[in-house]
Amino acid sequence: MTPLFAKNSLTLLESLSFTKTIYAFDFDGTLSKIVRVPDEAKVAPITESLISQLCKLVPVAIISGRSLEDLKKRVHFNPQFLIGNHGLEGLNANSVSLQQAEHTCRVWKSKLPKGLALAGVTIEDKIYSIAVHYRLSRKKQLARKKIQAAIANLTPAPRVIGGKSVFNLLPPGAPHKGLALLDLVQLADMKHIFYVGDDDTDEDVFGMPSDDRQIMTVRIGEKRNSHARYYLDRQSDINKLLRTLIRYHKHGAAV
Amino acid sequence: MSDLEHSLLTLFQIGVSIQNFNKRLEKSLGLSLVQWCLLKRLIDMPATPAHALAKAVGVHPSTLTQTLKRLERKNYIFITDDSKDYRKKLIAITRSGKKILEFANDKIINCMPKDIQSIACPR
Repeated sequence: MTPLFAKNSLTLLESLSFTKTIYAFDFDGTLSKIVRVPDEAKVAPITESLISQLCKLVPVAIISGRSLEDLKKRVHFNPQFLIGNHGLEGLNANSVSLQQAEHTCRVWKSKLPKGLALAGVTIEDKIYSIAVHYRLSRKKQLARKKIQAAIANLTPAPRVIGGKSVFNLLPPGAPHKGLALLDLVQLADMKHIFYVGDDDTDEDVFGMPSDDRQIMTVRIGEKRNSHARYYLDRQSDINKLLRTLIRYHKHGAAV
Repeated sequence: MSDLEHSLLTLFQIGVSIQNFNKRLEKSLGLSLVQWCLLKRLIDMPATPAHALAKAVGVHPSTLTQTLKRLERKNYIFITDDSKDYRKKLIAITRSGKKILEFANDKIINCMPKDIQSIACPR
């Protein structure tokens, strides 16, 4: 991985501003800080002000594992696209597949043992997917084992995406963030994607084949085995990134 | 003269006309037609590897090397190592490259000889 604020990386980043690029951001851990209780997550006022400015200059998408309804409550600026549930909500998902996802999640929720809650584990029902959080657990390893055992008994077997003290359970056949972004590029008639994320759920985007360099990926925090090409040291660097993007786009005009 | 001979002569005349046009452009703009074509492609292919650019332009990657070096010397493009594969280079257009391209776009259309124009824009 290369630091995004290295001179060479910035020159490449600037070249994105000369063409039709959509700027996509994950929510938790990227635009907002990671907090102990997921419900308390919010975007800092300065970040909110900067991303509002960016939204006026270029197409911006927020793509999150949160449900769309939850995401709407937390986003107080006007991105062109809001995508929830790892890509299931917000794009052209057909109602049949959404109904199927909802049914599958309802079955899973009824089968997940209630005892999980005692171990400091919370089950978040996002209608079309389920998140099992264990951030508040004092015995994280034990909690992980219990959750994994519970997930192994679910039918149909969910697609499990790990995260920061969370297991995301997605119905089989559900899209991931990478697929959602590819749909988005076509929908918005864009040529390139710039994506910032921080988590294992974002690896679906980071690991997308990039032979034609259609996508520039940035991870919050350096991680040796991440597929992201660039990284920011910490979440608070997002403000510096947003300022940089605003500066590039205020100077540039389409050719 | 057979039809084939006539077509070959026409092609030859067009070739000469393109060469002359290219020389005029290099003199007035400092940018050849090939260089303009590369910049034009690059603007929509930020941070692209050389082989992808060659494919987009329709030439072999080795034939691009000299043109890319010239563009880099003029500070119109930027070439850096690919952090994921050091055998590869990534190429991007710079802000100066974008400026010369904006300037060249109008100039090229105005200076284009009529015989080339009739082929480029038959309508």
